[in-house]
Amino acid sequence: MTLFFLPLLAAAALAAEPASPAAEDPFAKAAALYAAADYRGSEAAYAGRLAAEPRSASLHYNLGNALFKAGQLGRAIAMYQRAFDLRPRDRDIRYNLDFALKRAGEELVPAGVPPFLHYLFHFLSVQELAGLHWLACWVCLGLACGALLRRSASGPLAWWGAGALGAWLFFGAWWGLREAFEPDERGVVVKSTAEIRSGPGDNFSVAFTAPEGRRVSVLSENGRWVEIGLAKEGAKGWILVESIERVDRL
Amino acid sequence: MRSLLLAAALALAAGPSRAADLTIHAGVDKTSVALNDQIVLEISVSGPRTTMPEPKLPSLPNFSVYSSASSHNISFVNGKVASSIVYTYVLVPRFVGKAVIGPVSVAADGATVQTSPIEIEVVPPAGSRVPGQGPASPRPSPRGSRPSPGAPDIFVIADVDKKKPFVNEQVTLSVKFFTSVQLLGNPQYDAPKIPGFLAEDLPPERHGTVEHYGRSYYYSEIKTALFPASAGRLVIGPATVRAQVQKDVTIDPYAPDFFQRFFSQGFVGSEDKNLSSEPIELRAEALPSEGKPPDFTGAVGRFSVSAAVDRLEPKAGEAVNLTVTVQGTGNVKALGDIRLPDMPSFRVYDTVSSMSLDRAKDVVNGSKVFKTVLVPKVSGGLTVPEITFSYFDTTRRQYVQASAPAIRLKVKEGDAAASAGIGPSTPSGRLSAVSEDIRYLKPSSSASSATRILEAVASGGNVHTIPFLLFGAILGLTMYQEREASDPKGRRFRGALRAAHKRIRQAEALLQAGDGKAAASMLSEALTHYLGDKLDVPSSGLTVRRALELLSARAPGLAGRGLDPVRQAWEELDLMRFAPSAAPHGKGPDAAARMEALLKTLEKEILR
Repeated sequence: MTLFFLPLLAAAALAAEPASPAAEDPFAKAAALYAAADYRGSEAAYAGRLAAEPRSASLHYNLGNALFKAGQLGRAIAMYQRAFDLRPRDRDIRYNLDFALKRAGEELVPAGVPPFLHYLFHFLSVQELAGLHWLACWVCLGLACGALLRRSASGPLAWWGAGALGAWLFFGAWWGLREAFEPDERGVVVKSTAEIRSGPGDNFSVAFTAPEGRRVSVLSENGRWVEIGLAKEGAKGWILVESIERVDRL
Repeated sequence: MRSLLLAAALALAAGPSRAADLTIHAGVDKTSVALNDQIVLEISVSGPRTTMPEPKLPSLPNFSVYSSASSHNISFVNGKVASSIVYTYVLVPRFVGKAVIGPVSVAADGATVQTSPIEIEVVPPAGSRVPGQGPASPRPSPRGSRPSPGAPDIFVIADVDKKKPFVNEQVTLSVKFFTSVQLLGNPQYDAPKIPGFLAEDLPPERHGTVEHYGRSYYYSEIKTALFPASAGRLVIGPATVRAQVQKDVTIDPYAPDFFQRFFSQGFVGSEDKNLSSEPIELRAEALPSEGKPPDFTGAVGRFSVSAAVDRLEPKAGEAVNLTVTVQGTGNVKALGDIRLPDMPSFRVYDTVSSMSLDRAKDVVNGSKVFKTVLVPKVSGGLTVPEITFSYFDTTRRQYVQASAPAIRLKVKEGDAAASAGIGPSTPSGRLSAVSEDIRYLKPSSSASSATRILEAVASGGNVHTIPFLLFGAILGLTMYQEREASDPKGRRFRGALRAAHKRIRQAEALLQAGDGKAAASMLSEALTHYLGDKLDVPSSGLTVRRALELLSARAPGLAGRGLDPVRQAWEELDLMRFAPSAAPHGKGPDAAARMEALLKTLEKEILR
C-alpha cells in the first residue's frame, strides 16, 4: 500500500520520454547554425526550443555555447549554471562553466576547497537529492508500517528498515546543506561593468561595479531594480533588472 | 593640384641627401612667389629607426618663418622598422628679389647630412606699388581705403567655432590680423597660450580683404585646431601681434632740424603697435559615462575600422600580417591602441602602429594603422574575429562601436601543426595544448531514467504526506489494540453498553418478526451480559439476586427499592421467555425501548 504511489510517480516520469526524432529537427538545425559560426541564429533556435524543454541540461548547455561564442559571457554563464544545476556530474558542463567563470574572474571550485570534495558535494543535483530523500522516506515508513502490522521488527525487515532510515537521514542532511549553501534565487550579471547602487534608483550613488558574468544572490526586488548580494566580498546593492539574468532553481 | 606643384618643386629644388642611415629631403611648393604670398617648405627625414633627430633650419633673413606642423610615420615590415618625420614650415617673403633657402641639416651618430640650397624668386604683388630696396611692405594697403572716424587702423581678433566642446573634440581657433594702413616690415605674431589643449596647426595662412567699420581692411588669418584635454573651464590666452606701421609726419623744410629728421626717418615716420586679442573662455563637457563601451579608449569624432590580412591561405606556422586601419575625423594622434580579440588559435605578436594626418577644410582627420603578425598554430578553418573600435560621436552625442568583419583563413597543414598535434610525433608522447576553448555541443539527450524518476519523486509535493499519515494510522491502531489486550476487565467494562445495544437491535428485529420469545431471550442476554461485563463477573451464571447484591455494593445509595427496575425487568424478561401469557406486557413490543431506558439509567447512575 505504502509503495503504491511510487510506481505511479515513476510511470509518470518515464512517460515524459524525449521527443520524437521529428521533433529534434530544431535541435539539429541549431547545431548546424552553430557549426557554421552563425551563433546568433543558433542562439535563437536553442532559445525557441528551450520553451518546450525547460529542464533539458543539454539544451541549456548548447545555448550557453552559442551565447559564449556570440560574446555574451554573462548570459552564457547563466545557461551553463542552469545546466550544471540539472546535471552536475556532466564533465562537459562542468568544464564549460569553469571555463566561462574564469573569463569572469571566478572559478567553479572556490579557492581553498579541495576539488574532490566539491565534486562529491555536487555529485547529485538538488532534485536528485530531494528525490532520494523522499524515496528513502517512503521505504522507511513503509517498512515501519509493515513491522507494526506484523507486530514484529526483527530479522531482515529490521535491517532494511534501519538502512532506509539511515538513507533518509543522510540524503535529508545532504539536501539541507545544499539548500543552505545554494540560495534558490540567484543571478548572473549580464552587462559589462554593471553599476550597483546603494538604493533602488538612479538618484542613489554607485556603490561598486561588477564585471559581466559575476554570479550573485538575489535578495529582493523593487520595480526595475533588484537587490543583489555578493557573498565573497560581503557587499550588496541594487542593480537594474536588465543588467542581471535570473538563475533561479528549476 | 597643390600636391602636384609641390612634387614638381621637390623634384626641382632639392634631391635627397644620404648619410649614415638617414635621408633628408627639402622642398617648396613653388619657387616663384609674390611678396604678398607665402610658400610651404617641407622637410622630411627618414631612416630605419624609431626616433628621428630634428632638422636644423638655416638662417632665413629674407623670410618670416612659421612652423605649422609635423607628422611621424612608423612602419614595420618583415621585422624591420622604417620611420619618417615631415616638418612643414610656412615662409612669408620680406623682400622682392632673389632669396635663397640655405641647406637644411640634420645630425645623427656624429654624421651630418644636409639638403641642397633652394632658390626662390620673390616678385612684386600684382597691382601694387613696391618700394625699391627700402623696408619691405609684404602686405598691400587696401586700395582707396580712407580711415573712418573711430575705426581702428589695425587690430587683432581671435575666435573659436564652439564654446562648449566635449573633451577631445576639435575646436577651431581663428586669429585674424586686420590692417588698413601700410605696414613697415612683417608683423610678428605670438600665438596665444592654450593650457589644457592639444593643438594642431591648420595651414596655410589665409589672406584677403574685408569691409569692417565702413572701411576696407587687408587681413591675415591663422587657424589652429584645439582639443580639450580635460573637462571644465579652459581659457585661450590673448594672441599678440607686433607691427610697425607708417606714421605721417609733417616736416617743415624750414625747421632747424629738417635735414637731421629727413635723413634719420625719411619722409615718413614709423610707429610700433602691440595688438592683442581678447582671451576666450570655453567650458569643455566630460564624455558621458552611461553607455561607455568597455573597449573605449578616448577617441572622439567619427571613425571607421577595417581589417585585412596579407594572405588568406597560409600554412600553419607561417606569419600572417594583420592590418587594422582606423580612419576618420578627430584627434587621430590621441587614438589609443586597438584591442584585438582573443585568438587562441594564433600566436599573436606585438602591434606596431603608424599614423597619417590630414587637415582638409580645417578639420583634423587621418588614419592610424595597426600592424600585427599572427602565426596560426594549427591548420584548418581559422577565424580572425570581428574587431571593434569604439568612439564618441559628438554629432549624435553617443558612443558608437565601429567594427571590421571577421576574416576567415584556410590554414594549410604545416610544421607547427604537426608539432602541436597529438600522437607519436609529439615530443615525449604527451599532449601539447594549442588553445583553450569551450567544449562542443551536446546531442539532444534527456536525463537518465533514474534521474527522471528521482526528479518526479522530488516533485511529488503533498503526496509525500501519505506515508506519514499511513504510518500514524497504523501506529495508532496498533497501540489501541495493545492497550485493549493488556486490560481485559476494562475492555469488558468499556464494551458492555455497545454490546448490549447490539443485542437490543437484534431483539427489535426479532420482535418485528413476531418472535417474542427469542426477542426476550436476546433482551435478557443483553441485560445479563451488560451487568456481567460492568460488574466483572461471568454473565452465564449471573442470577438476579447476585446481580442486585453486586449493584447494591457498587451503589449503596440505591440499595433496596432503588434497584427495583432491574429486578422487574429481569423477572419480566423471564416471564416473556418462559410464560409469555403471564407477562404483564404480553409479548412486549416496547420491551426493547424499556431495556434501552434501563441501561441508560444504569449507565448514568451506577455503572459509569
